[in-house]
Amino acid sequence: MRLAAAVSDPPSVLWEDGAVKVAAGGEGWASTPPAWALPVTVAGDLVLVRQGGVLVSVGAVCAYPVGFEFYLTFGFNPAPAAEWRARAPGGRVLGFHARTPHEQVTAARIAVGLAGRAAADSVACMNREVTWGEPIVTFAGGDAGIPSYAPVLRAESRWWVSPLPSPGLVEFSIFLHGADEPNGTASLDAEGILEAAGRSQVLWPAPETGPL
Amino acid sequence: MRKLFWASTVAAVLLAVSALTSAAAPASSGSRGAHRFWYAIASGESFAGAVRHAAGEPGSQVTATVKDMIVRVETGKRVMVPEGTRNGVHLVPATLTELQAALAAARSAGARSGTSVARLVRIPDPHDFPIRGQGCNPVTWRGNRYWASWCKMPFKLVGGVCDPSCHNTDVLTARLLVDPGTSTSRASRSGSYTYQSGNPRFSNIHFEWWTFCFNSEQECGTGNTPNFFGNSSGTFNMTSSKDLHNSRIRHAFVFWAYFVPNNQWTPDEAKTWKGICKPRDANSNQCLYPA
Repeated sequence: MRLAAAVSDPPSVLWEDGAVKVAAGGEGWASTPPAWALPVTVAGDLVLVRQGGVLVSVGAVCAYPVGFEFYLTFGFNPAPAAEWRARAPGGRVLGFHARTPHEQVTAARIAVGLAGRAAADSVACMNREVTWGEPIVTFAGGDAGIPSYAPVLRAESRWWVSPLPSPGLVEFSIFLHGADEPNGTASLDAEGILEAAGRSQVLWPAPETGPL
Repeated sequence: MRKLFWASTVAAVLLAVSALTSAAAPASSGSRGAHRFWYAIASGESFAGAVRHAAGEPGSQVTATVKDMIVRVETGKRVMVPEGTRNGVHLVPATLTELQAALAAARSAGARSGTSVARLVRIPDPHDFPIRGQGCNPVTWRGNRYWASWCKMPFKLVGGVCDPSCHNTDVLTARLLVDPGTSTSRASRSGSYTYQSGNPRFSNIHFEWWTFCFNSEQECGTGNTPNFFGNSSGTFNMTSSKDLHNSRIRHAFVFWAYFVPNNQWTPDEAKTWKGICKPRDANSNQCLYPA
């Protein structure tokens, strides 16, 4: 299977209460949040951007045995004089996809640097084949963007990151409107994610196939 | 006797493997030295269109492969190519004229190709998508006949290889049923995906949607579903930023998938019939399609 969506070998080493023993650095991998494990939330929020009429924050990190999910929240000041308007070409205020020529130059992307591993990039994961085990950050639901006519310029989306980070810092970087340099960066200690992943409960064995 | 049985068994196995290789794994025939290229095509797209997209790939063998096709047709051999019609994608015998047009398209695309041109896609304005599907779930309301749902909206994406005759390796289909509403509409999808065993080449399968409001068909909602498995069914909602009581509504969709062999996003587009939503005094959020 080129694009196995879930680890074909479910974590086999369990504590007596059903929690998974997670090896440092994380050995499991999945292309989407697993349905077979109960996530554990990690306390703490990060603010990546808070200027120019733009707010970008990361929060509600939920850890699984094979990765973690987080909420990415955007808010744009609708005032005509807001600074972000000068840097937002085209008709969409925010969008993650990069399929058409217009989307290629306006896409927003989120990059997650996992300690000890290469950074995962949301646009890269949408534009090429993902191979088993490589660090990924993929869209897992919520608002896919904000059109210019939206009554409220706010978007909340969920993103899936796998594998689990090694001990160290996990760095989140946001690039708005096709920017080459990040508009904002913030990081948190991987220890909290790893500790929560270790308490995640496996409910049933992982299936061998899933979304492509 | 036992040796003879063993030898005949081996011969049968070899024959079976040979037949299996030529029929089920056309991609491997490229190793014999023939030119080949991968293609991805949707309903309504011509072979020349697929060639134009494929030709933009760096190092592609599209032009050489189409030349091989022309030679084969000129010598009386049959070459099959994919052709997207309104009803889907089929393999049809290629004509010399069609292949010459494809060659011109390949040269044109090759001449202007940059490094990533083939990955860029141009879709029409969603207002211009073709209407596909039909009304279903008939209802009578205030003396007039309507359809409560728009059904059987077909979408089809096909990927394959030409070496030089073409073989479809991946066929991805989906159908939508739309239940329109004044602020939130619901789409039910069902899909199937056939591919060579253990080697699906389409990924990132999802729908992009638009809601058009009022008679002027002003865009008032858009979004993307999360990726889903090709062989699956499910539902998703389309929202509207406007209150559509007593107003017109229409939805447009693009069925997207990423074809890995040639790094190509592949779209298939369609829209519904235009519906009308019940007025507020009906105390209902339902919209209907005039029958």
